[in-house]
Amino acid sequence: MTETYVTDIDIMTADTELVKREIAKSYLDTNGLPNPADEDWRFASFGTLTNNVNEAKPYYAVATEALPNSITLEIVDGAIKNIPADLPSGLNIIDWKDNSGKALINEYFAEIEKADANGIVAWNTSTFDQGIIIHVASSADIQQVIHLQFSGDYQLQKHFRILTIVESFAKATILEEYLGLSGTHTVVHEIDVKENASLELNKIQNQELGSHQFHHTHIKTAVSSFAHHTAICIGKGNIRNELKYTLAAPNNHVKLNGVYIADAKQVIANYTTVDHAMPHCLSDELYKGLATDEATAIFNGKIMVRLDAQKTNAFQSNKNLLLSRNAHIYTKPQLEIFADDVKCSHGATIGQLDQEAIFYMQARGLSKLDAISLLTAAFFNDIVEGIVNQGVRQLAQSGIRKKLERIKAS
Amino acid sequence: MLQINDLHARVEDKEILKGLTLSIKAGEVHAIMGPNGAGKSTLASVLTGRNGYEITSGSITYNGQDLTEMSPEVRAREGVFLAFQYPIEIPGVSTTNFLRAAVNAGRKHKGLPDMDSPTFLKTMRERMKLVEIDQKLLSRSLNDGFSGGEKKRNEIFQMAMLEPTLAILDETDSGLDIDALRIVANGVNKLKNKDNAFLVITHYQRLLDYIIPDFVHVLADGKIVKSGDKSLALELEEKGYDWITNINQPIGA
Repeated sequence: MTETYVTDIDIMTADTELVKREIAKSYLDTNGLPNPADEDWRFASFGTLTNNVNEAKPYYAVATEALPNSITLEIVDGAIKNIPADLPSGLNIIDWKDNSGKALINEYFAEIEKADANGIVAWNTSTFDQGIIIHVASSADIQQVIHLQFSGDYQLQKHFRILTIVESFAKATILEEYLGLSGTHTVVHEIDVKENASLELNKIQNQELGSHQFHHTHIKTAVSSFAHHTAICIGKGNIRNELKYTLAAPNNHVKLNGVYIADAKQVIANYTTVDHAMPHCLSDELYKGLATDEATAIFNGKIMVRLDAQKTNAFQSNKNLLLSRNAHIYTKPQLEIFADDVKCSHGATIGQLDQEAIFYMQARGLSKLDAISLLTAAFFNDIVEGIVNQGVRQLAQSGIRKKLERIKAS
Repeated sequence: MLQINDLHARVEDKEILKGLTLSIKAGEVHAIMGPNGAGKSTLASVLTGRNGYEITSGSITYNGQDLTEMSPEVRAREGVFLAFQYPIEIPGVSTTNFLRAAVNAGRKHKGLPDMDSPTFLKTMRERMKLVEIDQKLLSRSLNDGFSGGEKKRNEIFQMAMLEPTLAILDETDSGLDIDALRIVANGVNKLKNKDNAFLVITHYQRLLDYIIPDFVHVLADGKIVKSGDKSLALELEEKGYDWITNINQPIGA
């Protein structure tokens, strides 16, 4: 299978996959990786995000809590370890190398996100050698969580590709979990949510020091569909997440949520874009972050409301806790509105913990540190509570708690 | 139990308490009344160790220990409780979880194991009845979106759960309608016993119809200017604070 793989690609997909990979490669040849002069990389350059590779620890296995009622795919050192055999009816998970995925690749690969969209996408598109396709058949209601668990020790770099198609009237929940990785890792996830379909997409990034994650997720939504993305960034390494929504049809509802907690010298950046291309859509965004020690946290939220997107409701909020003198938080709402009958709001805050609330808790017997951890956990609570799947919610909750305890102990 | 001697305290550069002396024994209920700005809330803050209040001279002894040497949380674990004049809203923390942490922090301090869940929930149900507080309120975030009366009732409920030795009620009656006032006062009366003491800070005599004090003190300009029994409160209500402040000032001053 492995030996014939290269030939398979040459023959079966020469017209589409290879062409797109070539486009990506030539973009990369011309432009190189993103440089700090690019506005989108101003607050943390590619160099900053990858500069602590020397601090990488040797292989580190993170004890992970079991996720009940899930279909788990382990991706170790960038390679798919297993694809479960007994998938529920309506769900298909295909190794990118498998011939049965070719039709979907031809139809969707680099169609939702252009091969040359930006440096990270082009890098991934031209270079990735492993990937999976998740296909949820029309009207299928997948109760189990599709759990992609990435772990391992790359030291160098790995590029992984995911393509998810949720057909009309189908429902699915996905968890991308990143554990113990070091080295540089790009993941591009293209998602098509069809008419009346619904997707809960969760990402828990809990990787090791010396890991540099560059993620690009692009979700395209069709008529009357629903999609909800929650990113929980609680590891030790550096992260840059790019999340893009294209609301390509009327009457979509999308949610964007994120938690990021940066300590030590960590850099975590979340760039989100919601492209309201069609009328009567609702986007609801809330990201909450914390930076302490010498860490840097970045939120950049772009909302585009195109001329045709009348009756758009677009809400964005970003709230941050800055807990140290040497930490940095950059928050940048970016609204571009061309339609005239819309309701849009945005807000960004950076603040400290409420000293009155800390005293109130002390006056009831809690130590100052316990009061601070209860308050910080509470700060993220509304986002965690918004995770629909109970198992994923508990995983996120305990991950946040552990990260806060680590901060407290240091 | 509590002995305050010639206490002077200031906030920033402003001296608020100017030689306050007060002695409270177990089993007693003391009321402190006084006009706005007399230093009533400052006294509550100093007793609980709030940041920004500096004691410049005098002493506070609580059960034989120097209270001023203790951090706010140690004071709480030693049995000092403050019912806040303005309870803080804390979104995301449920009253139940918060109280569990508070109760167990106190138990740990006394060398006791954590209270197990069934006992904790049973105690909670009992004490809820005491202040007629709704279960639904307690599963919500602490004070978040509570009405003024609900917040004050929640303070008394927390007091009932923590069973303090010295409870300070800082203008708990302010903003309460007559029914809520009765409920709050009933709670206090049921919790009163020979081993604990209450310091009730209030602006109006009204609350003292329901919580009968053993002593009433009038605080004016940072000092206790007059002490007496409950009849003093009635006299104050009738004559106003001017009566007290005037008799303590030389005529024409």
